Amino acid sequence: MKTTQKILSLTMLAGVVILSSCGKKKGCTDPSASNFDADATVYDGSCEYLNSRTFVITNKTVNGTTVSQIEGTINEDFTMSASKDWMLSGGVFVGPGATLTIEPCTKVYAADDGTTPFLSIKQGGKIMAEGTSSCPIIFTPIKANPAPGDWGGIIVNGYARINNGATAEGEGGTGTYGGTDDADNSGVLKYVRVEYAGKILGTDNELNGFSFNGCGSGTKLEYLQAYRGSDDGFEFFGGTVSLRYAVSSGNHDDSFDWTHGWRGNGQFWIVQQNSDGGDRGIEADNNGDDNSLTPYSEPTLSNLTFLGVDDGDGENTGMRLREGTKGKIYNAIVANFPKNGIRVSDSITTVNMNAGSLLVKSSISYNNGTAWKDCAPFSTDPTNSTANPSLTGYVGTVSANATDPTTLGSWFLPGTYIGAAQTDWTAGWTKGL
Amino acid sequence: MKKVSLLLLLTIVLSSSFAAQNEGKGTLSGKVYEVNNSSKEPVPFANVVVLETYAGTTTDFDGAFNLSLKPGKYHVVFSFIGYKPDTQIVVVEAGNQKSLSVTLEKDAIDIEAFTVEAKKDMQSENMLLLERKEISGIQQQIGAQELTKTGSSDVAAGLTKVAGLSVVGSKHVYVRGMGDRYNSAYLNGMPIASPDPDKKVIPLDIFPTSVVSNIAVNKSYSPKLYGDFSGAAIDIKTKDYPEEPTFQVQLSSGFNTSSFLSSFKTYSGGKYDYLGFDDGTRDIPSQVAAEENYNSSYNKEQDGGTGFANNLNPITTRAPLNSGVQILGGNFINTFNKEDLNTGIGFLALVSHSNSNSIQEGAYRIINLQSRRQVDYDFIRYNVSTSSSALANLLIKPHKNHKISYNFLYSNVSSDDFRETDGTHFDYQKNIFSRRYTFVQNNLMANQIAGEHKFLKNRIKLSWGLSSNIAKSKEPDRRQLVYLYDENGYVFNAVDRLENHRFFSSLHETEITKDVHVKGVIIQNEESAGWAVTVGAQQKNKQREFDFSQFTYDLSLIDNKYPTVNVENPDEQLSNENHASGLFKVQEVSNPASKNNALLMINALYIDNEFNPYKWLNINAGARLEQGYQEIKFRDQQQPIFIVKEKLESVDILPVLTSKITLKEDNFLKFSGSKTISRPGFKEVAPFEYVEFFAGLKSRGNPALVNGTNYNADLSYEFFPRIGELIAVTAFGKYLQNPIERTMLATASGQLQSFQNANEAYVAGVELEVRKKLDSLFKNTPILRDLSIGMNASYIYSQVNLSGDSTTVTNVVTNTERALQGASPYLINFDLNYEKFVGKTTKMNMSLAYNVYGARIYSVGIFGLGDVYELPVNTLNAVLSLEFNNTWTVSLKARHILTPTTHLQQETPQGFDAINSYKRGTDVGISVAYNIPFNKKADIK
Repeated sequence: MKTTQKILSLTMLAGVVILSSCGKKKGCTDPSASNFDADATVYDGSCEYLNSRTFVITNKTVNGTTVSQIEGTINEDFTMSASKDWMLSGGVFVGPGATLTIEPCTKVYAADDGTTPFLSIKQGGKIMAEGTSSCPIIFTPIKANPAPGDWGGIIVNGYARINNGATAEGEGGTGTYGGTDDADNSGVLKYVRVEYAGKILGTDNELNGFSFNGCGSGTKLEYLQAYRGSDDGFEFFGGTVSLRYAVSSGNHDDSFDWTHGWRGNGQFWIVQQNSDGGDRGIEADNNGDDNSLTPYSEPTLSNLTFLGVDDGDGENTGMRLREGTKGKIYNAIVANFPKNGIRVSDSITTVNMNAGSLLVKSSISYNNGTAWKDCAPFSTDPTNSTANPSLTGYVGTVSANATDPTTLGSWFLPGTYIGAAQTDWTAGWTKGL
Repeated sequence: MKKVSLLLLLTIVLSSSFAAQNEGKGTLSGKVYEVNNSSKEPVPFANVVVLETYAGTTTDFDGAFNLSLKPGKYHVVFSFIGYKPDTQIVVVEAGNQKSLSVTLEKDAIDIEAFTVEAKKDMQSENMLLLERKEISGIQQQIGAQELTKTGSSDVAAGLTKVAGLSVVGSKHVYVRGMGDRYNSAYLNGMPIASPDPDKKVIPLDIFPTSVVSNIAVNKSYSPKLYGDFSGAAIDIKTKDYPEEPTFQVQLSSGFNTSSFLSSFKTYSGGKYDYLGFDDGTRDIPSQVAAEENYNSSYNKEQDGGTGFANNLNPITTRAPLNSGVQILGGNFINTFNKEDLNTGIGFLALVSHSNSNSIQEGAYRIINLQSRRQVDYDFIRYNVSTSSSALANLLIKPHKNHKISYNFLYSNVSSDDFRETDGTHFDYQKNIFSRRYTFVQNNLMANQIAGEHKFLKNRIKLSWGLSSNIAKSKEPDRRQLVYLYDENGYVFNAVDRLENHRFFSSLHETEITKDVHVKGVIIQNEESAGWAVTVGAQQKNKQREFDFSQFTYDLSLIDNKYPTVNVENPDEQLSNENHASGLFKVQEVSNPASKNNALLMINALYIDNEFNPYKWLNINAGARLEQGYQEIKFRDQQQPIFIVKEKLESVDILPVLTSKITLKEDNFLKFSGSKTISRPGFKEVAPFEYVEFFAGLKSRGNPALVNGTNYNADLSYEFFPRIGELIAVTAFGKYLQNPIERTMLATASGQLQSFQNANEAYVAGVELEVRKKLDSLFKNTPILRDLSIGMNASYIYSQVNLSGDSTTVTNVVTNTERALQGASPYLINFDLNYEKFVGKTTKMNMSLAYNVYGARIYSVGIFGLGDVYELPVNTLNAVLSLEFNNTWTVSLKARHILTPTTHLQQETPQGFDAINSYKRGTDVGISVAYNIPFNKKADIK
């Protein structure tokens, strides 16, 4: 018995010796960690890193421009003053409870450092970016020769209802959105221009110029331009936010896009495509996985001027209303799209159209491949026509058959004419193609 | 053509070498018996070894043996597990037949202590069944013999023959409906690394059957197993040294009916693709690699070439024949002590290589709740696969109580895929046509060293083992181009910029494991009562590094120059000249999070008590104390300034109780109960989005995950009517607390999966196994007499309850209560074997093996759409082999005779919609093996 015990204990001792790596110092072996230990040779899991809820500002000069580079998550009230230029590196978030204020005339660059810069307002966070017509706030790449897709644009996440779940995850890991507060307020964006956005993060992860994710009606959006992005210009994922005075210029995918139950209003929207690329003036969905999910996408739009261009594939369409969307569109000019002017597809969308919950009135489909595709109720509506609206650029309106937008709701401004620009309200703060 | 003529030559040589030379020899024959209740019973498979020549044989079913020997005086040792060995002195005279009757005495106390006299043939079904009788846990084994008979080409295919097991995607094993998370793989009893970044268990098609001696499927837990267990621990035992000089060469050839004599598509690859190794052709070009990091992603807009070779054109050729070669050699040499024949050095070396090709056609669809086909593609895949391996085994046994063994295994598998898809996508007006070239190479290198030392007349046994594994996987230079077309011709799809790309990925995993344990017999009674204790310590350290990068072709301007593209010659448009003139550019889609490092460290102490209070009762009671630490670290994709580190620490005590009751001889009742855990995968706890590598699905980990706890119980009745026969019924039940389940999150676009601890899940079922020879039923019917049948059937019930969502984002999964993913409600195997001697020296073996699994959940439905089910597939394999004089073996094989189509269907409010399907052809092959007859091996019979 004794010998047995002896051998047992000897064995355990041997086991302990074998199992412990003797003679090597354990510690954090990663030089990028804050507690890097140069003497350690065996990693023991002790490395610690920067906390991702903080932000870091670094002053640097890029391409001859001196900027304050901002990285991380803004977790306290912060102002980007116009007295200096700013640069976003990677995704910059505004955390819950924090307000980011951007002064008029401020220029915010997007870094060219291999990261995907974007500005995302998280649920409960706020942005107060109020420029003026002579002093807009401009977001643009720092690159000497900027190109579409150089950065990720602006994303605003709110607590309003969506139809693809109580809450959902934004494109490219840009934040969670959705909730029950249709009156939610994420702040103000006014006289803001976003240039060359639409960067790809990965499959199904393409960022837009402006993404409004579950944004509530308390949020104010006016005088916004999405200029030459490689994806959509403006995209609404559910929510109730409204947008007026919007210009979507030379965006490679859709100029305006909505899905997952957007129920806001829109007035004075301009689309101008260019020949490098482009798809649809509006791509409107309710929900692709189930066309009948509620709340339905059901916006009210008035005073639109959409000008298409053939980018080589002959596919561009003015408005594609599909996947079960509802909505009311008045006073729209849709011209020069090589494929279709307005097209309705999918059975539930057609049911909505026939029931009158999806309608297009007081509108002109001019010089498109096919003026009206699969939408007899629109083409036969006496207030719609295919007459030449005789525009100068995107300026110009038609008054025959126009609807008075103030009858559509209290949010709407007067404008009883067909088209977005009776006068050129884009002058001074937008960039031409 | 060369291979065919070589086969012909072999056949000619073969036909001329049948006659064995027996002149001038005498014969020793006889029978081996045991005394059982005063009646003599034959002992089958007893070892008969002639000490002077090392020649030997084993007895047949009736205990009979036959040896031909030169005249002389010999010491002949008769032995078998469970019996005391007996040595007889025999004088053999030329031309005479000497007959012997040997009686072996049963050895009641400790089987292991006395049985190492002759090596057990662990490749044999009969031997594995005899082993199964002895153990008290629930274990099923499948030997090399059965793998060959059922036409299984690799371990994954072989495992489908085991009750309760199914294999998904021809590599991932499900045990009783439980997938990767609940299983673990061991190589010769030691844990093994995995080259699959998303899976814990190594893809089991990496092990060709040629390296396998047997596979043990441990369905009940024991304390020496790592605690991450519930389905099974699958232990692959590689071949080890033979007892006598052995040298074998095997050549094989064949074809798949899908590609036989048909045209075959491929592309410009590397010089050694046919061997399964990329020669570096597919590496990221150095000028591209130089700029490849997150601070300066590659962006080649103009000035000359893209940096990549122009090699996107398809090439049409003819399908080659499948071929294979295997060489095996080994011996055991009595060196250290000539008196003790068990001491010496044994070794084995094996190399093998095979390649095969096939054409697979099918359809791929995505539907929505309104049954509209969002995506509707037909596809065709031209695939060339290879499998190569090198195996070495060395045993050093300087003393009968001490031995050290070393195992080396290198295995490399490759798959080279040329895929075309053609169809429609809801976002496009035009049709879509695409080509993707994918080369994947996975390999594993394992080094294992283990020792066993006995002291105090075998009352103390000390065992130790060390293993070091390196598993690698790479998918270098996956190339894809997507086109849109209508009646006017083809153009590049320039809208989706990620579609036209080159993709590179690599994974490197190292795993070092250590084990030391000692078994001591505390009480050893002559009769039955006994108590033995095993105490051990283990450590595992696993490190994994994975990185990928993707380069896209921005083709938005090129369509303006070329109104149409020639899809057979895209290299013409994507030329360096066109690049230099700015018609297209190549850009990296940089992802700072692509590179990640993961670490798993486990320390464990365990104890196992074996009680033998009565002759009819064995009880094992033990426990394991396991401490685990796992972490994953990578740069935040959105905010690369931050490094994300997520860790999970745990300490668990895992008790286990197993028992075996001998109801009467060869009738056993076995019970096992245990508590085990399930650890989340590395990335499953990372709080940010990542792209699942193989599936391409976006995923987001959940840092709130904790280990799941599993309670397992098994009850089994086993009856072994005769050698090689079995009737067994096993019932099992499992209760999983906090099981980790996949969920699908609501997103702005596309799908995003995540993970959560579900409330609970239940798994229960019954397995029935029958293995029977038909000779007793059909004594007088010549053909039926030589038949044996084997069958197993399993019924599996599983249910998981997903409510109690712990994540902040809505889970959009349709069914929150459903069966486990991959769980088939039933599994059936049936095989029929015919074995007969044709003449004195020619053995014929024919077998048919059938397998079917019940409809199983392939993926879960979201937004009201039902789950996707993979419908049952019937598999039938047939093998005919002829073994001449123990020297030549010729086999004909046909796999997947029923050329089954795999169908996937999804439930919608309108009924069931067929979504994906694919069809595979039948593999037909012939192989010829030659064993050098070292003039020692005697014929059975």
